[in-house]
Amino acid sequence: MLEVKDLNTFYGKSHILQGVNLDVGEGEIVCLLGRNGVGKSTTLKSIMGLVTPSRGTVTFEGKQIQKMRPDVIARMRISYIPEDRRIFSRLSVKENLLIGTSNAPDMTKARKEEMLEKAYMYFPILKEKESQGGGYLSGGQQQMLAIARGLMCDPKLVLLDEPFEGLAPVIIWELIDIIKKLCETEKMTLLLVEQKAALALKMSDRGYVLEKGLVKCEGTCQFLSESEEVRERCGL
Amino acid sequence: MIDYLIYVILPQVLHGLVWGTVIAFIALGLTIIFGLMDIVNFAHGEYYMVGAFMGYTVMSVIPNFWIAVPVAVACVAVLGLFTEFILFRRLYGRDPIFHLLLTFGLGMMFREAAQLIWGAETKRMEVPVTATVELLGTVYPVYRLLILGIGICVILFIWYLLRYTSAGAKIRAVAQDRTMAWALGIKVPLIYTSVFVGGVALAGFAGILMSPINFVYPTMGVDVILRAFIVVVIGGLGNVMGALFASLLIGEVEALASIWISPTIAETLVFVILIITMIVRPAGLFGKAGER
Repeated sequence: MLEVKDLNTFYGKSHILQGVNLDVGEGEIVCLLGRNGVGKSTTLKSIMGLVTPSRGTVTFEGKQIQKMRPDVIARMRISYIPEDRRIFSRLSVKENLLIGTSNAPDMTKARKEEMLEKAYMYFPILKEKESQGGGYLSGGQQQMLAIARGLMCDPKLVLLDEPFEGLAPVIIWELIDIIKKLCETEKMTLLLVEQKAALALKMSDRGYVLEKGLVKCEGTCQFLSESEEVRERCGL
Repeated sequence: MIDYLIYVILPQVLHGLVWGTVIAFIALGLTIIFGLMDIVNFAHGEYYMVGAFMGYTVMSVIPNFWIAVPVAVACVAVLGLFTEFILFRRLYGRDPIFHLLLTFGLGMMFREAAQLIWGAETKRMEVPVTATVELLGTVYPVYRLLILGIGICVILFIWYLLRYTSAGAKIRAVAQDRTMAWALGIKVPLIYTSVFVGGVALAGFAGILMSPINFVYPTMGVDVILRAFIVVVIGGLGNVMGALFASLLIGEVEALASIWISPTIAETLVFVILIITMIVRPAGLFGKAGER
């Protein structure tokens, strides 16, 4: 479904991604692991078109998308849920969710209502706070809103960046349960970036370990969690 | 005492409201464009001027004000579309010094061009509605009340659009975090263009509405943009409600003060308010410190 080949991205003069290769099959949950600053988030941003890769290809459903604008990429039903959540604090919770359907212009009003109901089913707290400003939510609730917003368009592929950062353990476990449930019932394809490798490996099918802008090793979660190298690289 | 209120104060209060509405038209466009794309448009007043001159030109061919209004607004919108597409588009995300240079220069070009096309002398347009109405004994021109009515409708419409429609939610989303909005599939360049065109069309609309009351001349935009800037700063940069409130405040202060002091000195009072605001509340009356 998604294939990334020899992806090179620069921030100014610093060479962040130095030839990343990875692929995600339909219905798969794939995690991207590694320490801080190895290029995990940049990989997602490059796929999303938020930074332009200098070399390499990103292929989604057979189409090369690495030179496209972010809104065009989003309209291929790719959802990006960024690490700092970036919900619209001055918009209400409901408005935030409906903004999430911007990349699905063909979605009917009835379908939007349906998606809204579904979002409220998975995250009941958002229903309660529906008309409140996004800025009044707690950190965990903001993360839920960011995830729910990303799912409103019924995405084919979800790019989820560090969803557990800065959250209390109880909330993390609650989120993991919801994400797992979502993946099972909604047949979601997920590319997950996470620093907390132990958590990510528990919920994924496969994983890649990134170091200095390159994939150092890859494999099934079982293989990765048993590998000494990975344990060391990810600080397991 | 009652007579003084009715015959002196009341007409001036109404004058102030009308003037405030017109300033609000300009200031709203200015502040929304700033809030959305971080551009301070120093040429904004020139779209007001072009609106008035377009109206004047149409009137000289077809002497019907109610045809001239939509034609003039459409012309300004087209001009806005061109300038956004050719010039402003290159400014997004650049250093503010580029914004200053380009928009200031553009304003000068517009003024000079207007002088070449229409001449420097002031022109006067016929008032389309000459009727007057008696309010508590004082006689007031219906046309001014009409401007006030149109102004209130337009402002309510903009408020509704921004607050309660999905397009409005998208505009507010882009204003807050354009990158995230873009990644969610919002066509950010399209939003920029539409808001810019809408903002300058609003200024053009104000220009033709005011031309039967004020004169029409190439530098008329400069007089109004100064007040609009003051309003935007007093209300808090990018703050729509603040701009509305400050427009009415400035309109009233100018109108009421000119009862007792000469209108020229009344104008400077506006600056006094600006200075006091800058000292007491630097982020504007409605701005929160540290927030734009």
